[in-house]
Amino acid sequence: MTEAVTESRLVFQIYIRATAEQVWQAITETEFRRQYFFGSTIESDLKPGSSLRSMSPEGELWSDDTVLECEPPHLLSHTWRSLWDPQAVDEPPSRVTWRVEPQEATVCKLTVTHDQLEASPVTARGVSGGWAFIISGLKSVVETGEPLATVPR
Amino acid sequence: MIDDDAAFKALADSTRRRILDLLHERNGQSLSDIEVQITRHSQMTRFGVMKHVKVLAEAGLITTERRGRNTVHYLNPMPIRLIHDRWIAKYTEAHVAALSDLKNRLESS
Repeated sequence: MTEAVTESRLVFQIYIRATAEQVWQAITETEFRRQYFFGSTIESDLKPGSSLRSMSPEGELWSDDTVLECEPPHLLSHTWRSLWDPQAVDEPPSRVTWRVEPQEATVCKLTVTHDQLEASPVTARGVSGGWAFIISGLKSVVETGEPLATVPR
Repeated sequence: MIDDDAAFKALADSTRRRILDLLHERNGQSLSDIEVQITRHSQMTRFGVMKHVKVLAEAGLITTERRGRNTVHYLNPMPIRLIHDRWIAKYTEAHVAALSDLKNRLESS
């Protein structure tokens, strides 16, 4: 081994047939978010330092995070704590970064990075499958207007 | 755009699937890290491992990032997830539905 890589980071990258603005809306507006993010809301003014909260369809508080960086429609970074998971709730906050990069005329590359997970192994295990499902759902909602048919819960 | 064909072709090789498993176990590895683990169990050269990593990157199954003098590799599960959503979920659902139909028929007869 040349170096001991101890960092814990998950990376999800996908191409979406849409403009950066459309992908940005899907990330930041409840109307879209509900269709692919387990029915949850997103509530934030998206200013660095502001809160970013998410409620379940039943009105439970699923996340109460802080916006770290926001450059519409290309970059949103916020803290992450899995409030719905009693095993993970006491772990330190990690970080989620959404990056939208336009490619050709109507294709964007979306990269979601969930890092700073070194001290939060339960959170890391809990989210790894969920992100792939969520991002695939986001692509489906943006490209077809329809959520994915199957909803693993 | 990365298409399904590239992902299917990249997955149709046991060494490349092994590389994905290595990154699933420990994400963010350098080429040397990957090479050491692959060549331990095979005759493959560093160049061979590099070629496989390149095919995986071109299919979008791994992403890379510069870290000082090193490039580190991360698993990108999205192409596999899309294959699952497009190809696998559809057929396994039909399978489950057929079984539950059979169960209903047997139980009602």
